[in-house]
Amino acid sequence: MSETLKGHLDPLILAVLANDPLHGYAVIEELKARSGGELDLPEGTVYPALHRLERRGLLRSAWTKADGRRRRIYRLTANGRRELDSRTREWRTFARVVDAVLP
Amino acid sequence: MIDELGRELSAVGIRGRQRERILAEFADHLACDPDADLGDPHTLAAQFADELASDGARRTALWTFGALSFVAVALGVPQVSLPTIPDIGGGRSIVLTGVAALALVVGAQVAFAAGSLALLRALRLRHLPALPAQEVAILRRRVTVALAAGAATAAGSSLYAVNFWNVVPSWWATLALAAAGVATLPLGVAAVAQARTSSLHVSRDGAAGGLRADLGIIGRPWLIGGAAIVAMLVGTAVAEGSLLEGALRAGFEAVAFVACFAAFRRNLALTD
Repeated sequence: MSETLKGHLDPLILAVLANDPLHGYAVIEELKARSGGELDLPEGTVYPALHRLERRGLLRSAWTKADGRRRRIYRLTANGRRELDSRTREWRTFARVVDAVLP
Repeated sequence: MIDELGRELSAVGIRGRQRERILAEFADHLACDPDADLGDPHTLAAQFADELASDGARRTALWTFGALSFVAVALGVPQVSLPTIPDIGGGRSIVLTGVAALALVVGAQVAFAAGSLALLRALRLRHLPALPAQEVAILRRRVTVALAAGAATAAGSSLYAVNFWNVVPSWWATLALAAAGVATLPLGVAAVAQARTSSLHVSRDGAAGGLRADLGIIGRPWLIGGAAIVAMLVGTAVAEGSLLEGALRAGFEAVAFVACFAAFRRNLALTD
């Protein structure tokens, strides 16, 4: 299950950032919470995905200060929101089709 | 963990602000949860490098094609505005004339072929987050050949203007030199981008195809070369009204194609 979820990591990250800007650690905690603990991957692997999504223009990020430390906060861009909507529609169709066929 | 990740990032060629940013984010993460399972530093650094190198190679391929398009326009303007084409022996040296013509004709074709092939592969693989090392190497080699050939074409244009300085109008020679100078600027920018991303070490396994992977069934070098030779024969024969002239230029095209195929077969990944 976890492996399948990893294949959909990009839209899951976009979904987590849809409402509020978050830093890397908070993104991972939110992914764990929303997946009921099923998304159990090495936490460091989320950072390459965050950087990738930013390079694609789907996220943007900026430094802030937290407890004297530098913290990178990620937020969804307009393109990111469109991508999330598109991936959500694709997933709903896919799930409906599979649901209709499986016993 | 942070020290080890820093060493691994340096080892795969991630340096400067990019490295600093990654380390700061991981340090913040560990400050939030000192027991966090961040994964193996070697694997993480490799993943960052694979993705950055893949993106960089694709982006440089796009920039290179854009730069070559600019070069084509910049060098094309003087060529079409030359009032009268001077006699082949009218320049300072027949050797310089030959070198300039060779650089202009062959350089332009090699630049176009290499730049187009780099662009094709970059577009075909645009959806993959990380490319195999072999694919990145092919993209880098195609871009290098395209940039070098573009620069050779610009140099050929300058050489032509200098060689025929006393024969062509001075405004035209000045225009040709200025255009060649301007043309090298975007090539330089693309070359810098290429140099930056080339320092990233890619470790991902996987095969990479040749021309057929880019062009499908028509991706056979001899088919494309044959089409170019026939096009040269027919085009020149019609334009010049002389079958002999068409045959001569088609012969030159055939020799140039065979020579370029032999020289660039590996660099441009023309065969599987």
